[in-house]
Amino acid sequence: MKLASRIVSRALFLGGLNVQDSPLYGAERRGAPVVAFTRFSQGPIHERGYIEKPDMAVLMDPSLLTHPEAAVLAGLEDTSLLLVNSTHTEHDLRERCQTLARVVTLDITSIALDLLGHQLLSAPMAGFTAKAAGLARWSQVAEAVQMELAEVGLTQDLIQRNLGATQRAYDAAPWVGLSEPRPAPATGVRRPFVIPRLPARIATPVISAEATSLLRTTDGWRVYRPIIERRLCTRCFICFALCPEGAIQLDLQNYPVIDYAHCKGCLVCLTECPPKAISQLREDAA
Amino acid sequence: MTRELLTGNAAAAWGARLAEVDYIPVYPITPQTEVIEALAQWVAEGTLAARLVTMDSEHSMLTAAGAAAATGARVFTASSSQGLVYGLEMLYTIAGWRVPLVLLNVSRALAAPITLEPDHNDVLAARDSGFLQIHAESCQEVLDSVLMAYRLSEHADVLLPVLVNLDGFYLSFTREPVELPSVEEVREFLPPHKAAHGFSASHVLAQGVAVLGGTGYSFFKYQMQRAAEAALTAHDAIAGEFCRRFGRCYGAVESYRLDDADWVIVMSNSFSTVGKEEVARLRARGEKVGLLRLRLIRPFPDQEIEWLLGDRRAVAVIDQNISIGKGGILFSEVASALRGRTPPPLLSFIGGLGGRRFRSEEFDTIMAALHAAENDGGSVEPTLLYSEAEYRQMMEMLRIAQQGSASTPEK
Ligand code: SF4
Ligand code: SF4
Repeated sequence: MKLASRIVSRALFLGGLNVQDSPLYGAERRGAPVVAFTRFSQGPIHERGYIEKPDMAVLMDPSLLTHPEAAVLAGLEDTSLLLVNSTHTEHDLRERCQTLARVVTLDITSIALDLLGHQLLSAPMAGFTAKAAGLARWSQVAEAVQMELAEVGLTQDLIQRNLGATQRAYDAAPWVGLSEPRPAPATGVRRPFVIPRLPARIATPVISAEATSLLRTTDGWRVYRPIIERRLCTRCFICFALCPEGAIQLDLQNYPVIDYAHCKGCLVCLTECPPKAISQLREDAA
Repeated sequence: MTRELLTGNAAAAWGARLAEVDYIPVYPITPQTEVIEALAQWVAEGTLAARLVTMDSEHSMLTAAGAAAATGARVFTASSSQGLVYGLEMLYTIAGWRVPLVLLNVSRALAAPITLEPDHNDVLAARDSGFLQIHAESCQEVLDSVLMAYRLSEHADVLLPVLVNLDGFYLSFTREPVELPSVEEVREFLPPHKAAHGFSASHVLAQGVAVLGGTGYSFFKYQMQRAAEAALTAHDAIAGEFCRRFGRCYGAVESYRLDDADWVIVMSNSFSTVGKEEVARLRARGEKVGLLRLRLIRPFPDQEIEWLLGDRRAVAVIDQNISIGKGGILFSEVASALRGRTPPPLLSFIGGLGGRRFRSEEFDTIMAALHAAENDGGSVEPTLLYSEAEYRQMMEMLRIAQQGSASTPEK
C-alpha cells in the first residue's frame, strides 16, 4: 500500500505537481492492514499526516470492508471515489458496503498472480489508481514504477514484469476522474476536555485479562485459505507444531483443525505438510 | 531515637534499612558505592532482611528494581552520574509501569570531561522521566527524605517512583550528626505496602503494553502528570505527619529569612547551606535578602514559588547545572512559575559546575546585580560564577597540556 501510494505520488510529481506521501502502520508483521496517504496540489501543501476526508480511497484488500475497526470508508462522501481490488462488480460492492461513493472495481489480484506469480499488488494498483482517477499519463506512471521499485531494490527482471502488470491494470481501468476538492471543514472553539486523574490501578498500561489476543482476529489477512484434507492426513502434527500463530489445534482423534478466525494465511502449514494433505483456496470475501 | 555521626551515603543506607526494604539491586559507581557496601554488610550480617543482588549494569539494575517493585516488594536502588544516564531508558519505562520504589542518586557531574565532583546535570537528565525528585541539603535530610519518598511513592494517588538526590563528596562523604529514628517509630510512619497491580506467580499480567496511536499513549502519559500533581498534595500531608512524629519539617521548598525579604536568592542541594550563611552575612550588612531552597523538583511547586517570589524587588536563581545552549535549568523552571502576574526581575547565575566551590565575594556580586536589576531588569543571559584568577590558571594548564602543538594558547 505504501509503495502504491509512493508510485502515484511519484507520477504526480513527474507531472509537475507538489506532492506529499506518508504511510501509517503498526508493529504487526506482513499482511497486517496498512494505510498510506498521498496529497497533491498545484501550490504548496500545508497539511500533514492522516487524511480524514479523502477525495479518493483505494482499497487493496476488500476483506477489510467488513472489518469495522479498519474503517476503510471513513470520510468518504457521494462525490468521493472508491477504487477496490475485487472480482465483484461496482454495483455489488456498493450494495454490500452501503456506500454512496462512486465505486470502481478491478481484479488486481488476478493480474498480479497472472503476471507476477505472487500477490504483489502495489504497482498494478498504482496503475489502476492513476488511470481511474485521471492523475497521470502512462509514461509518467511507467517512469514512477521504475524509480520506486528500483529504490526498494527490485531486480530489473522483476521491475519489467511489474511494469507489464501495471500496464495491464492501467489499460483495463476506466477513466472516471476525481471530483472537485471539498471545502475545508468548519473550525470552531471548543472547551478543552479536562482529563481526570484515575486510580493508578486503572490508569496504567497493564493487561490482566486472560486471552485478549483471541479478540483480535486475523482472518482478513488471508489471500488463500489452507484446507486440511483428512483422508490424506497422517496426523504427523508438523502443521500443528509449526503454525506461527498457534492457529492449529488437535481434535479428539488427534487430527489438526484450523482456527480460521486466527489463521493469517501464511501457508507455512501447506508448505511443510509431508503428504501434501493441505490445499489452498482463494479467499474472496468481498 | 539515637544521634550518630553519619556520612550522607551512610544516612541513605540507614534510610533503606529503616524502611525495611525487601530487594536491593546494585551496581557500584563513585561516589555512591559506600551506600551499597553498607547495605551489603547489613544483609550479610543479617541485620537487614533483604535480598541484595549485584547486577551487570545500571540498565539491568533499574529493570530488576522496577520488575521487583511490580511484584509488591519494597525496592531500594542507587546510582550516580554516568550510571544514572546509562539507565535512563529504564527510568522512563519504570515510571510508566506506575510502580513505587526509591532510587538514590549521588550527584556527580557528567563526562566529558570526566570528573568525580558534583553538579546536577545527572539528576536533571531524569527530570522528565516520571520519577518524582527530592533534593536534600544535609545528611539528616537524606535519611528523612528516603523515608518520606517511600510514603510518597506508595501513596495510592501517586504510584510513581521517587528519586532522592544528594551531592557527591559534599554530602556523600561528609559526616554530620544525624538523628536515627528507631525501626518501630519508622514502621508506624511507613507501614508495609501492597502491589497495586497484583503481579504474582501463575497470574496473567502484561505490564507496560504497547499502545499504537496517540490516544492511548496520551491518556497514560497524562495520567502520570495527574498523579504527579496529586503528589504535591500528598507530599504536604506526608511532610506534616513526618514533622509531627519526628520533629523535623520539610516543605516542597524551604524558606530561609524570606518573610520580609526584598531580594531572594534561589538555590538547591548541599550548597544551599553556604548560601544561607551568605544571606545571614548580607543581612548583617543591612540587605533585606532571603533564600529559597528548591527541594521538591518533581512535582515542581509552581504555585508556592509564585506565591513566595511574586512580589520581590528582584530574584536570582543559582543553578548548579547547565543546559547547553540555554543556561540554568532551574532558572527556566522558576521563570515559568512566575509567568503570571508582573514577575520580578529574574537573574540567572551558574555556579558549582563539577563541584566548583562558591566564594563569599560572589554573593556580594549577586547582591549588587539584584539591586541593579530592579532598575534595568537585568540581563537575559546567564552569568557564570568564575574568576579571572581561575581563567589564568586554566590558560597556564592548557599551555602545558598543549606544548608543541600549533595551537598553544598565547599568554
Ligand atoms: S496458514 Fe497455516 S500455518 Fe499459517 S496461520 Fe494459517 S494455519 Fe497457521
Ligand atoms: S502436517 Fe499434514 S499430515 Fe501432518 S498433521 Fe498436519 S495436515 Fe496432517
